Amino acid sequence: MSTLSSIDGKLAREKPRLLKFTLALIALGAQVGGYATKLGLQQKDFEKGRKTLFDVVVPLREALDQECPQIDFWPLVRRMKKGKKSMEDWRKDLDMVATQLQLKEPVTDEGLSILDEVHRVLEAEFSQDLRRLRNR
Amino acid sequence: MLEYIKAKVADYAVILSWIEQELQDIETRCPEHHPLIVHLQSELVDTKGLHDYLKELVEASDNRAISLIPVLESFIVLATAYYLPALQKEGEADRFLRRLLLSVAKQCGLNWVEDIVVHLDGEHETFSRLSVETPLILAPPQHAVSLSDMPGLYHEFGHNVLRKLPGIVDVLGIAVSEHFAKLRKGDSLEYWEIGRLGELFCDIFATFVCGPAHYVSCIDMGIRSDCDPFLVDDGDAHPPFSARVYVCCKSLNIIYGNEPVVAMARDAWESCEGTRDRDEVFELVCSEALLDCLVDASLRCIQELLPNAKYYSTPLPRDEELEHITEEMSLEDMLNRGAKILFMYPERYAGWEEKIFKRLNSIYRPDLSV
Repeated sequence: MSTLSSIDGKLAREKPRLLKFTLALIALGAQVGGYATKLGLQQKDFEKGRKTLFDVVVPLREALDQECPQIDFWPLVRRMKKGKKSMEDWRKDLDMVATQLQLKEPVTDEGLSILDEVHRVLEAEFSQDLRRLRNR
Repeated sequence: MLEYIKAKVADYAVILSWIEQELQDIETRCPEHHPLIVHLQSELVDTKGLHDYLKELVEASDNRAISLIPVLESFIVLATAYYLPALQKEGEADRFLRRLLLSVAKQCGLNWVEDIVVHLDGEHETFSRLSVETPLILAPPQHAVSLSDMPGLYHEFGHNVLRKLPGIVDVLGIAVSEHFAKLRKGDSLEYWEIGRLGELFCDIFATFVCGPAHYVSCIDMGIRSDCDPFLVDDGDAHPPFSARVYVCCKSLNIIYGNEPVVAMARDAWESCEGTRDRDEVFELVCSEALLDCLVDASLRCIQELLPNAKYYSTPLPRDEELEHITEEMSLEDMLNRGAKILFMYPERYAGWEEKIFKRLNSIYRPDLSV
Protein backbone atom coordinates (compact mmCIF):
# COMPACT_ATOMS: atom_id res chain seq x y z
CA MET A 1 0.00 0.00 0.00
CA SER A 2 1.33 3.36 -0.98
CA THR A 3 2.17 5.27 2.19
CA LEU A 4 5.04 7.17 0.64
CA SER A 5 2.94 8.29 -2.31
CA SER A 6 0.67 10.34 -0.09
CA ILE A 7 3.61 11.68 1.93
CA ASP A 8 5.28 12.75 -1.30
CA GLY A 9 2.04 14.43 -2.36
CA LYS A 10 1.75 16.22 0.96
CA LEU A 11 5.36 17.39 0.81
CA ALA A 12 4.68 18.72 -2.68
CA ARG A 13 1.95 20.95 -1.25
CA GLU A 14 3.94 21.97 1.82
CA LYS A 15 7.34 22.72 0.27
CA PRO A 16 6.55 25.88 -1.75
CA ARG A 17 4.81 27.46 1.23
CA LEU A 18 7.62 26.57 3.63
CA LEU A 19 10.33 27.75 1.25
CA LYS A 20 8.62 31.08 0.53
CA PHE A 21 7.95 31.64 4.22
CA THR A 22 11.56 30.78 5.14
CA LEU A 23 13.08 33.11 2.55
CA ALA A 24 10.72 35.93 3.54
CA LEU A 25 11.50 35.47 7.21
CA ILE A 26 15.24 35.49 6.50
CA ALA A 27 14.81 38.73 4.53
CA LEU A 28 12.86 40.47 7.30
CA GLY A 29 15.27 39.15 9.92
CA ALA A 30 18.21 40.54 7.96
CA GLN A 31 16.42 43.89 7.68
CA VAL A 32 15.91 44.04 11.44
CA GLY A 33 19.44 42.74 12.10
CA GLY A 34 20.99 45.33 9.80
CA TYR A 35 22.87 42.90 7.51
CA ALA A 36 20.45 42.82 4.60
CA THR A 37 22.91 44.47 2.19
CA LYS A 38 25.39 41.65 2.82
CA LEU A 39 22.75 39.33 1.40
CA GLY A 40 22.00 41.64 -1.50
CA LEU A 41 18.46 42.30 -0.23
CA GLN A 42 16.62 45.47 -1.20
CA GLN A 43 13.43 47.30 -0.23
CA LYS A 44 11.40 45.37 -2.80
CA ASP A 45 12.52 42.10 -1.19
CA PHE A 46 11.22 43.27 2.19
CA GLU A 47 7.90 44.31 0.69
CA LYS A 48 7.57 41.02 -1.11
CA GLY A 49 8.58 39.20 2.07
CA ARG A 50 5.96 41.01 4.15
CA LYS A 51 3.28 40.07 1.65
CA THR A 52 4.38 36.42 1.61
CA LEU A 53 4.27 36.23 5.40
CA PHE A 54 0.97 38.08 5.55
CA ASP A 55 -0.54 35.58 3.07
CA VAL A 56 0.25 32.74 5.46
CA VAL A 57 -0.38 34.45 8.79
CA VAL A 58 -3.85 35.78 7.97
CA PRO A 59 -5.42 32.53 6.68
CA LEU A 60 -3.75 30.68 9.55
CA ARG A 61 -5.30 33.13 12.01
CA GLU A 62 -8.68 32.71 10.32
CA ALA A 63 -8.32 28.92 10.38
CA LEU A 64 -8.14 29.01 14.17
CA ASP A 65 -11.76 30.13 14.35
CA GLN A 66 -13.25 28.60 11.22
CA GLU A 67 -15.52 25.61 11.20
CA CYS A 68 -14.36 24.76 7.66
CA PRO A 69 -10.76 25.94 7.28
CA GLN A 70 -8.81 25.30 4.10
CA ILE A 71 -7.44 21.74 4.17
CA ASP A 72 -3.73 22.68 4.16
CA PHE A 73 -4.22 24.42 7.51
CA TRP A 74 -5.81 21.44 9.31
CA PRO A 75 -2.51 19.82 10.39
CA LEU A 76 -1.06 23.20 11.39
CA VAL A 77 -4.04 24.07 13.57
CA ARG A 78 -3.91 20.61 15.14
CA ARG A 79 -0.19 21.07 15.85
CA MET A 80 -0.86 24.49 17.42
CA LYS A 81 -3.65 23.09 19.58
CA LYS A 82 -1.33 20.35 20.84
CA GLY A 83 1.46 22.83 21.63
CA LYS A 84 2.15 24.59 24.93
CA LYS A 85 0.97 28.00 23.78
CA SER A 86 -2.71 28.70 24.37
CA MET A 87 -4.98 29.32 21.40
CA GLU A 88 -5.87 32.68 22.92
CA ASP A 89 -2.18 33.68 22.84
CA TRP A 90 -1.87 32.46 19.26
CA ARG A 91 -4.88 34.56 18.22
CA LYS A 92 -3.48 37.66 19.92
CA ASP A 93 0.03 37.18 18.50
CA LEU A 94 -1.10 36.45 14.96
CA ASP A 95 -3.36 39.50 14.98
CA MET A 96 -0.48 41.63 16.18
CA VAL A 97 2.01 40.36 13.61
CA ALA A 98 -0.56 40.61 10.79
CA THR A 99 -0.97 44.31 11.64
CA GLN A 100 2.81 44.82 11.62
CA LEU A 101 3.15 43.11 8.25
CA GLN A 102 0.81 45.63 6.69
CA LEU A 103 2.99 48.57 7.73
CA LYS A 104 5.91 49.92 5.70
CA GLU A 105 8.42 49.80 8.57
CA PRO A 106 10.39 46.74 9.68
CA VAL A 107 8.63 44.29 11.98
CA THR A 108 9.60 44.47 15.66
CA ASP A 109 11.75 41.87 17.44
CA GLU A 110 8.57 40.61 19.07
CA GLY A 111 6.92 40.31 15.67
CA LEU A 112 9.92 38.42 14.32
CA SER A 113 9.82 36.01 17.22
CA ILE A 114 6.14 35.26 16.52
CA LEU A 115 6.98 34.67 12.87
CA ASP A 116 9.74 32.31 14.02
CA GLU A 117 7.12 30.40 16.01
CA VAL A 118 4.86 30.13 12.97
CA HIS A 119 7.86 28.96 10.97
CA ARG A 120 8.53 26.24 13.55
CA VAL A 121 4.96 24.96 13.11
CA LEU A 122 5.30 24.85 9.32
CA GLU A 123 8.74 23.27 9.51
CA ALA A 124 7.71 20.67 12.10
CA GLU A 125 4.93 19.40 9.82
CA PHE A 126 7.22 19.34 6.78
CA SER A 127 10.11 17.68 8.63
CA GLN A 128 7.83 15.01 10.09
CA ASP A 129 6.72 14.05 6.57
CA LEU A 130 10.29 14.18 5.30
CA ARG A 131 11.42 11.83 8.07
CA ARG A 132 8.77 9.32 7.01
CA LEU A 133 10.14 9.46 3.46
CA ARG A 134 13.68 8.95 4.73
CA ASN A 135 12.74 6.03 7.00
CA ARG A 136 11.49 3.79 4.26
CA MET B 1 25.13 26.04 15.19
CA LEU B 2 26.86 28.13 12.54
CA GLU B 3 29.85 25.75 12.63
CA TYR B 4 27.50 22.84 11.96
CA ILE B 5 25.87 24.67 9.05
CA LYS B 6 29.31 25.50 7.64
CA ALA B 7 30.09 21.79 7.67
CA LYS B 8 26.78 21.01 5.95
CA VAL B 9 27.54 23.58 3.26
CA ALA B 10 30.71 21.65 2.42
CA ASP B 11 28.87 18.31 2.64
CA TYR B 12 26.05 19.42 0.33
CA ALA B 13 28.56 20.77 -2.21
CA VAL B 14 29.96 17.27 -2.61
CA ILE B 15 26.53 15.57 -2.76
CA LEU B 16 25.04 18.03 -5.24
CA SER B 17 28.05 17.75 -7.50
CA TRP B 18 27.78 13.95 -7.38
CA ILE B 19 24.07 14.08 -8.25
CA GLU B 20 24.88 16.34 -11.21
CA GLN B 21 27.50 13.92 -12.50
CA GLU B 22 25.20 10.92 -12.08
CA LEU B 23 22.40 12.64 -13.98
CA GLN B 24 24.78 13.38 -16.85
CA ASP B 25 25.95 9.77 -16.95
CA ILE B 26 22.40 8.43 -16.86
CA GLU B 27 21.32 10.71 -19.68
CA THR B 28 24.16 9.42 -21.85
CA ARG B 29 23.32 5.82 -21.00
CA CYS B 30 19.51 6.12 -21.18
CA PRO B 31 18.56 8.87 -23.66
CA GLU B 32 14.90 7.80 -23.41
CA HIS B 33 14.84 9.39 -19.96
CA HIS B 34 15.78 12.82 -21.31
CA PRO B 35 12.50 14.46 -20.16
CA LEU B 36 12.96 13.15 -16.63
CA ILE B 37 16.63 14.16 -16.48
CA VAL B 38 15.71 17.67 -17.64
CA HIS B 39 13.23 18.00 -14.75
CA LEU B 40 15.70 16.61 -12.22
CA GLN B 41 18.42 18.95 -13.49
CA SER B 42 16.08 21.91 -13.17
CA GLU B 43 15.35 20.94 -9.53
CA LEU B 44 19.07 20.52 -9.01
CA VAL B 45 19.72 24.05 -10.28
CA ASP B 46 17.13 25.44 -7.82
CA THR B 47 18.67 23.42 -4.99
CA LYS B 48 22.15 24.66 -5.87
CA GLY B 49 20.77 28.21 -5.72
CA LEU B 50 19.54 27.51 -2.18
CA HIS B 51 22.90 25.99 -1.32
CA ASP B 52 24.66 29.18 -2.47
CA TYR B 53 22.27 31.23 -0.35
CA LEU B 54 22.95 28.98 2.63
CA LYS B 55 26.66 29.79 2.20
CA GLU B 56 25.92 33.54 2.14
CA LEU B 57 23.78 33.28 5.27
CA VAL B 58 26.56 31.51 7.13
CA GLU B 59 29.00 34.23 6.07
CA ALA B 60 26.54 36.81 7.40
CA SER B 61 26.29 34.77 10.65
CA ASP B 62 22.52 34.43 10.22
CA ASN B 63 21.27 31.65 12.49
CA ARG B 64 18.09 31.33 10.42
CA ALA B 65 20.30 29.61 7.82
CA ILE B 66 19.43 26.32 9.54
CA SER B 67 15.86 26.66 8.32
CA LEU B 68 16.98 26.09 4.71
CA ILE B 69 18.29 22.63 5.54
CA PRO B 70 14.94 20.71 5.48
CA VAL B 71 14.17 22.17 2.06
CA LEU B 72 17.60 21.18 0.72
CA GLU B 73 17.20 17.75 2.27
CA SER B 74 13.84 17.23 0.61
CA PHE B 75 15.48 17.25 -2.82
CA ILE B 76 18.55 15.29 -1.74
CA VAL B 77 16.51 12.50 -0.09
CA LEU B 78 14.26 12.06 -3.09
CA ALA B 79 17.14 12.14 -5.57
CA THR B 80 19.57 9.91 -3.71
CA ALA B 81 17.18 7.44 -2.05
CA TYR B 82 14.64 7.04 -4.83
CA TYR B 83 15.31 8.52 -8.28
CA LEU B 84 19.01 7.73 -8.69
CA PRO B 85 18.79 4.09 -7.50
CA ALA B 86 15.84 3.54 -9.84
CA LEU B 87 17.69 5.03 -12.81
CA GLN B 88 21.03 3.43 -12.01
CA LYS B 89 19.56 -0.04 -11.58
CA GLU B 90 16.93 0.10 -14.31
CA GLY B 91 16.71 -3.36 -15.80
CA GLU B 92 14.87 -5.05 -18.61
CA ALA B 93 11.82 -5.82 -16.45
CA ASP B 94 11.61 -2.19 -15.27
CA ARG B 95 11.73 -1.00 -18.87
CA PHE B 96 8.98 -3.46 -19.82
CA LEU B 97 6.64 -2.07 -17.19
CA ARG B 98 7.66 1.49 -18.08
CA ARG B 99 6.56 1.02 -21.70
CA LEU B 100 3.34 -0.64 -20.60
CA LEU B 101 2.52 2.15 -18.12
CA LEU B 102 3.33 4.91 -20.59
CA SER B 103 0.69 3.54 -22.93
CA VAL B 104 -1.83 3.02 -20.10
CA ALA B 105 -1.29 6.52 -18.68
CA LYS B 106 -2.67 8.14 -21.84
CA GLN B 107 -5.77 5.96 -21.76
CA CYS B 108 -6.35 7.02 -18.16
CA GLY B 109 -6.37 10.68 -19.14
CA LEU B 110 -2.87 11.45 -17.82
CA ASN B 111 -1.92 13.26 -21.03
CA TRP B 112 0.79 15.27 -19.29
CA VAL B 113 2.97 12.23 -18.56
CA GLU B 114 6.14 12.40 -20.69
CA ASP B 115 8.22 9.71 -19.10
CA ILE B 116 7.99 7.20 -16.26
CA VAL B 117 10.80 5.51 -14.40
CA VAL B 118 9.81 2.17 -12.89
CA HIS B 119 11.69 0.48 -10.08
CA LEU B 120 10.46 -3.05 -9.42
CA ASP B 121 11.42 -3.04 -5.78
CA GLY B 122 8.77 -3.46 -3.12
CA GLU B 123 5.32 -2.03 -2.53
CA HIS B 124 3.47 0.31 -4.88
CA GLU B 125 4.62 3.91 -4.45
CA THR B 126 4.58 6.96 -6.69
CA PHE B 127 6.75 10.04 -6.56
CA SER B 128 5.54 12.99 -8.60
CA ARG B 129 6.82 15.83 -6.43
CA LEU B 130 9.91 16.66 -8.47
CA SER B 131 7.96 16.49 -11.69
CA VAL B 132 4.38 15.45 -12.32
CA GLU B 133 5.24 14.82 -15.99
CA THR B 134 7.89 12.24 -15.17
CA PRO B 135 6.81 10.21 -12.14
CA LEU B 136 8.81 7.49 -10.45
CA ILE B 137 6.75 4.39 -9.76
CA LEU B 138 7.89 1.65 -7.40
CA ALA B 139 6.15 -1.69 -7.80
CA PRO B 140 6.50 -5.34 -6.74
CA PRO B 141 8.98 -7.35 -8.85
CA GLN B 142 6.35 -9.95 -9.80
CA HIS B 143 4.79 -7.41 -12.17
CA ALA B 144 7.42 -8.58 -14.68
CA VAL B 145 5.66 -11.94 -14.99
CA SER B 146 2.26 -11.66 -13.32
CA LEU B 147 -0.86 -9.52 -13.27
CA SER B 148 -1.18 -10.09 -9.54
CA ASP B 149 -1.81 -6.77 -7.72
CA MET B 150 -1.43 -4.85 -10.98
CA PRO B 151 -4.72 -2.93 -10.53
CA GLY B 152 -2.85 -1.13 -7.73
CA LEU B 153 -0.88 0.70 -10.43
CA TYR B 154 -4.05 2.62 -11.33
CA HIS B 155 -4.28 3.73 -7.69
CA GLU B 156 -0.71 5.03 -8.11
CA PHE B 157 -1.77 6.96 -11.21
CA GLY B 158 -4.36 8.56 -8.94
CA HIS B 159 -1.54 10.03 -6.85
CA ASN B 160 -0.05 11.54 -9.99
CA VAL B 161 -3.46 13.03 -10.86
CA LEU B 162 -3.63 14.66 -7.43
CA ARG B 163 -0.20 16.19 -7.94
CA LYS B 164 -1.31 17.58 -11.31
CA LEU B 165 -4.72 18.71 -10.05
CA PRO B 166 -4.23 19.60 -6.37
CA GLY B 167 -7.59 21.39 -6.32
CA ILE B 168 -9.30 17.98 -6.17
CA VAL B 169 -8.21 17.51 -2.55
CA ASP B 170 -9.47 21.01 -1.74
CA VAL B 171 -12.88 20.06 -3.15
CA LEU B 172 -12.92 16.89 -1.03
CA GLY B 173 -11.75 18.86 2.01
CA ILE B 174 -14.68 21.25 1.63
CA ALA B 175 -17.08 18.29 1.35
CA VAL B 176 -15.69 16.84 4.61
CA SER B 177 -15.78 20.21 6.39
CA GLU B 178 -19.39 20.84 5.37
CA HIS B 179 -20.43 17.34 6.38
CA PHE B 180 -19.00 17.64 9.88
CA ALA B 181 -20.12 21.27 10.27
CA LYS B 182 -23.69 20.09 9.75
CA LEU B 183 -23.20 17.46 12.44
CA ARG B 184 -21.46 19.99 14.72
CA LYS B 185 -18.53 17.55 14.97
CA GLY B 186 -15.76 19.85 13.74
CA ASP B 187 -13.00 17.87 15.51
CA SER B 188 -13.74 14.80 13.37
CA LEU B 189 -12.60 16.49 10.19
CA GLU B 190 -8.99 16.35 11.33
CA TYR B 191 -8.98 12.62 10.60
CA TRP B 192 -9.58 13.36 6.92
CA GLU B 193 -6.25 15.07 6.35
CA ILE B 194 -4.84 15.57 2.86
CA GLY B 195 -3.15 12.16 2.77
CA ARG B 196 -6.24 10.11 3.65
CA LEU B 197 -8.52 12.06 1.35
CA GLY B 198 -5.91 11.52 -1.35
CA GLU B 199 -5.84 7.78 -0.73
CA LEU B 200 -9.62 7.58 -0.96
CA PHE B 201 -9.61 9.56 -4.20
CA CYS B 202 -6.97 7.19 -5.64
CA ASP B 203 -9.23 4.21 -4.88
CA ILE B 204 -12.14 5.93 -6.61
CA PHE B 205 -10.00 6.96 -9.59
CA ALA B 206 -8.52 3.45 -9.94
CA THR B 207 -11.99 1.86 -9.93
CA PHE B 208 -13.24 4.46 -12.41
CA VAL B 209 -10.54 3.66 -14.97
CA CYS B 210 -9.88 -0.01 -14.19
CA GLY B 211 -13.35 -1.23 -13.22
CA PRO B 212 -14.15 -4.42 -11.29
CA ALA B 213 -10.51 -5.59 -11.38
CA HIS B 214 -9.61 -2.78 -9.00
CA TYR B 215 -12.61 -3.43 -6.76
CA VAL B 216 -11.68 -7.11 -6.50
CA SER B 217 -8.02 -6.21 -5.93
CA CYS B 218 -8.94 -3.82 -3.09
CA ILE B 219 -11.00 -6.55 -1.42
CA ASP B 220 -8.15 -9.01 -1.90
CA MET B 221 -5.75 -6.56 -0.24
CA GLY B 222 -8.21 -5.94 2.60
CA ILE B 223 -8.68 -9.64 3.34
CA ARG B 224 -4.94 -10.38 3.08
CA SER B 225 -4.03 -7.48 5.37
CA ASP B 226 -5.95 -9.27 8.15
CA CYS B 227 -6.57 -6.01 9.98
CA ASP B 228 -9.81 -4.74 11.48
CA PRO B 229 -11.65 -3.28 8.46
CA PHE B 230 -13.39 -0.74 10.69
CA LEU B 231 -10.32 0.43 12.57
CA VAL B 232 -9.92 4.21 12.38
CA ASP B 233 -6.19 4.44 12.93
CA ASP B 234 -4.58 7.88 13.21
CA GLY B 235 -1.20 6.31 12.49
CA ASP B 236 -2.26 4.80 9.16
CA ALA B 237 -2.11 6.97 6.05
CA HIS B 238 -5.02 4.98 4.62
CA PRO B 239 -8.67 5.04 5.66
CA PRO B 240 -10.10 1.77 7.08
CA PHE B 241 -10.51 -0.96 4.47
CA SER B 242 -14.26 -1.03 4.94
CA ALA B 243 -14.41 2.61 3.77
CA ARG B 244 -12.03 1.93 0.88
CA VAL B 245 -13.98 -1.08 -0.37
CA TYR B 246 -17.24 0.85 0.00
CA VAL B 247 -16.05 3.75 -2.18
CA CYS B 248 -14.66 1.34 -4.78
CA CYS B 249 -18.04 -0.40 -4.96
CA LYS B 250 -19.84 2.94 -5.29
CA SER B 251 -17.46 4.02 -8.07
CA LEU B 252 -18.10 0.98 -10.25
CA ASN B 253 -20.10 1.49 -13.38
CA ILE B 254 -23.68 0.33 -12.78
CA ILE B 255 -23.39 -2.23 -15.57
CA TYR B 256 -21.40 -4.40 -13.15
CA GLY B 257 -24.30 -4.66 -10.69
CA ASN B 258 -24.95 -8.31 -11.63
CA GLU B 259 -21.43 -9.28 -12.64
CA PRO B 260 -20.66 -12.65 -10.97
CA VAL B 261 -17.05 -11.84 -10.01
CA VAL B 262 -18.19 -8.60 -8.37
CA ALA B 263 -20.88 -10.48 -6.43
CA MET B 264 -18.40 -13.16 -5.40
CA ALA B 265 -15.86 -10.58 -4.16
CA ARG B 266 -18.61 -8.68 -2.32
CA ASP B 267 -19.72 -11.88 -0.56
CA ALA B 268 -16.14 -12.61 0.50
CA TRP B 269 -15.76 -9.08 1.82
CA GLU B 270 -19.05 -9.16 3.70
CA SER B 271 -17.94 -12.41 5.38
CA CYS B 272 -14.70 -10.72 6.38
CA GLU B 273 -16.52 -7.66 7.73
CA GLY B 274 -18.95 -9.94 9.58
CA THR B 275 -16.19 -11.09 11.91
CA ARG B 276 -15.73 -7.58 13.35
CA ASP B 277 -17.95 -4.88 14.85
CA ARG B 278 -18.26 -1.30 13.68
CA ASP B 279 -17.70 1.10 16.53
CA GLU B 280 -19.00 4.64 17.04
CA VAL B 281 -15.80 6.22 15.76
CA PHE B 282 -16.08 4.40 12.44
CA GLU B 283 -19.77 5.23 12.16
CA LEU B 284 -18.99 8.91 12.67
CA VAL B 285 -15.78 9.31 10.67
CA CYS B 286 -16.61 6.93 7.82
CA SER B 287 -20.39 7.21 7.63
CA GLU B 288 -22.00 6.14 4.38
CA ALA B 289 -23.39 9.67 3.99
CA LEU B 290 -19.88 11.15 4.04
CA LEU B 291 -18.37 8.46 1.80
CA ASP B 292 -21.22 8.87 -0.72
CA CYS B 293 -20.53 12.57 -0.76
CA LEU B 294 -16.80 11.99 -1.35
CA VAL B 295 -17.49 9.50 -4.15
CA ASP B 296 -19.83 11.96 -5.88
CA ALA B 297 -17.34 14.82 -5.55
CA SER B 298 -14.46 12.65 -6.80
CA LEU B 299 -16.37 11.31 -9.80
CA ARG B 300 -17.42 14.86 -10.68
CA CYS B 301 -13.80 16.02 -10.50
CA ILE B 302 -12.61 13.13 -12.68
CA GLN B 303 -15.26 13.75 -15.30
CA GLU B 304 -14.75 17.54 -15.34
CA LEU B 305 -10.98 17.75 -14.98
CA LEU B 306 -9.90 14.57 -16.75
CA PRO B 307 -12.13 14.44 -19.81
CA ASN B 308 -9.87 11.86 -21.45
CA ALA B 309 -10.14 9.39 -18.58
CA LYS B 310 -12.39 6.56 -19.73
CA TYR B 311 -14.97 5.23 -17.29
CA TYR B 312 -14.35 1.48 -17.55
CA SER B 313 -17.57 0.00 -18.86
CA THR B 314 -16.62 -3.02 -20.94
CA PRO B 315 -18.91 -5.95 -20.07
CA LEU B 316 -16.91 -8.94 -18.86
CA PRO B 317 -17.26 -11.81 -21.33
CA ARG B 318 -19.17 -14.92 -20.44
CA ASP B 319 -17.36 -18.12 -19.62
CA GLU B 320 -16.58 -19.44 -23.09
CA GLU B 321 -15.18 -16.11 -24.38
CA LEU B 322 -13.33 -15.19 -21.23
CA GLU B 323 -9.96 -16.69 -22.14
CA HIS B 324 -9.99 -15.35 -25.67
CA ILE B 325 -7.11 -12.92 -26.23
CA THR B 326 -7.61 -10.27 -28.89
CA GLU B 327 -5.35 -7.67 -30.53
CA GLU B 328 -7.44 -4.77 -29.21
CA MET B 329 -7.38 -5.77 -25.56
CA SER B 330 -6.23 -3.03 -23.19
CA LEU B 331 -4.42 -3.74 -19.93
CA GLU B 332 -7.69 -2.97 -18.13
CA ASP B 333 -9.46 -5.65 -20.23
CA MET B 334 -6.73 -8.12 -19.34
CA LEU B 335 -6.92 -7.33 -15.64
CA ASN B 336 -10.70 -7.63 -15.57
CA ARG B 337 -10.71 -10.92 -17.43
CA GLY B 338 -7.82 -12.07 -15.25
CA ALA B 339 -9.74 -11.25 -12.08
CA LYS B 340 -12.77 -13.15 -13.32
CA ILE B 341 -10.77 -16.21 -14.39
CA LEU B 342 -8.75 -16.21 -11.13
CA PHE B 343 -11.77 -16.00 -8.86
CA MET B 344 -14.28 -18.04 -10.89
CA TYR B 345 -11.98 -20.61 -12.55
CA PRO B 346 -8.71 -20.60 -10.62
CA GLU B 347 -7.51 -23.84 -12.24
CA ARG B 348 -7.39 -22.10 -15.62
CA TYR B 349 -5.59 -18.98 -14.43
CA ALA B 350 -1.88 -19.89 -14.68
CA GLY B 351 -2.15 -21.02 -18.31
CA TRP B 352 -4.14 -17.95 -19.29
CA GLU B 353 -1.73 -15.55 -17.58
CA GLU B 354 1.18 -17.16 -19.41
CA LYS B 355 -0.55 -16.48 -22.71
CA ILE B 356 -1.27 -12.89 -21.69
CA PHE B 357 2.38 -12.30 -20.85
CA LYS B 358 3.43 -13.71 -24.22
CA ARG B 359 1.20 -11.08 -25.77
CA LEU B 360 2.44 -8.26 -23.49
CA ASN B 361 6.05 -9.29 -24.10
CA SER B 362 5.57 -9.22 -27.85
CA ILE B 363 4.48 -5.58 -27.58
CA TYR B 364 6.48 -4.17 -24.68
CA ARG B 365 9.59 -6.35 -24.69
CA PRO B 366 10.64 -6.13 -28.32
CA ASP B 367 14.15 -7.36 -27.47
CA LEU B 368 12.82 -10.65 -26.13
CA SER B 369 11.09 -11.59 -29.38
CA VAL B 370 14.26 -11.11 -31.50
